[in-house]
Amino acid sequence: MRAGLDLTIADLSLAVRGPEGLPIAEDEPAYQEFLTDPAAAAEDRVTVTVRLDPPPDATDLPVRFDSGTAWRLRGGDGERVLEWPAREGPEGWWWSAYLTGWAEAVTVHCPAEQVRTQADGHSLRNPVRYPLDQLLLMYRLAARGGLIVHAASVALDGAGLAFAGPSGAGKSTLAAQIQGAPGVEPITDDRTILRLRGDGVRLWGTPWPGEGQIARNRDAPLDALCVLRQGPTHRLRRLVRPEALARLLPVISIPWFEPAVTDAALAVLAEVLARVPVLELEFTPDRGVVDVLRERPWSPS
Amino acid sequence: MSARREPAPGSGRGKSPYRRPRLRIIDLQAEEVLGIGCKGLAGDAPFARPCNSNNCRQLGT
Repeated sequence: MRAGLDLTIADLSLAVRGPEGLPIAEDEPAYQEFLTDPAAAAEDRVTVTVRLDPPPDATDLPVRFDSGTAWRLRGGDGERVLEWPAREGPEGWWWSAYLTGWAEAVTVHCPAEQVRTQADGHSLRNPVRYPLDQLLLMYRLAARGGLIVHAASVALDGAGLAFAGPSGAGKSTLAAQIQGAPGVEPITDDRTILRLRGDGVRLWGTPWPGEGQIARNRDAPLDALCVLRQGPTHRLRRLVRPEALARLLPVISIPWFEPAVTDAALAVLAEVLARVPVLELEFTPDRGVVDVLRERPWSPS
Repeated sequence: MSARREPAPGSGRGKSPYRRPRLRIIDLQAEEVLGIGCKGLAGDAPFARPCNSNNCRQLGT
């Protein structure tokens, strides 16, 4: 078991460091591929310091966004605090994560219940997992030319294809139905990260899977971005930019309550749309959709 | 040689017919993309099951 834990998603690393002498454990299967060596290269590395103590009083900071049940954000541009309600414990006991800037440094305060005691000793359950890791990455990716999209993705003959849509659109269904087809490598069935690279776009898998539990730490050059629609046949239709925007905006993780971060994320999205074709993929539940995709009708050659 | 003059602004010539702008509403659903939906992780940490407070156990939301 490691003294710390390094989580690398889309070439961005979160170095989780707890109290001295207390190993940090992450047992969730979806995360295993994303645990990396501390010495491994990553484009960006954020140190997340974990402390086992009550969160400092942040009530003087205004609430900027309240999700209602899951978490809320306090503060402004210089200091942000993400707060979570505890399932158990005294009223008002919150977990919290203090962020400086766009999550350039993070301190997590969590209760002692996060320490697990087993026959081989004590360990700290990794608190930097969904949704905290996704929220931190929303900031880091905006600063580094990236976006999180509610999309399944695969590599088809080495070319990356992302299939975006809200819950119920068929992301996991599609990923399951084409899994195992020749040349198809599933990457994720629920959340894909897109990053501007060179003059193109690259996609990455994430540890946040859907029903199919597909969560691979793989990447591929993005060849096309498809918006899903279930229908009676398999059909691809190129979307003009206003329609592409209208279909994609609801399924992209943009912190709308953060104007500067939103501006950066929208600039990334505009660049993605300029570089990669966006299509509507109508599909029906059979593997024939792979043949339609393999023809790559969006490609000029 | 005579230079062709562009119609003066507002002269009515060469203008496209006015089209009333259409207001487009894009429904942004926070639970889809802002780390609010439950991912059904194993374990008993509050971070692992953010939806326990509203008994959400659905995967892939």
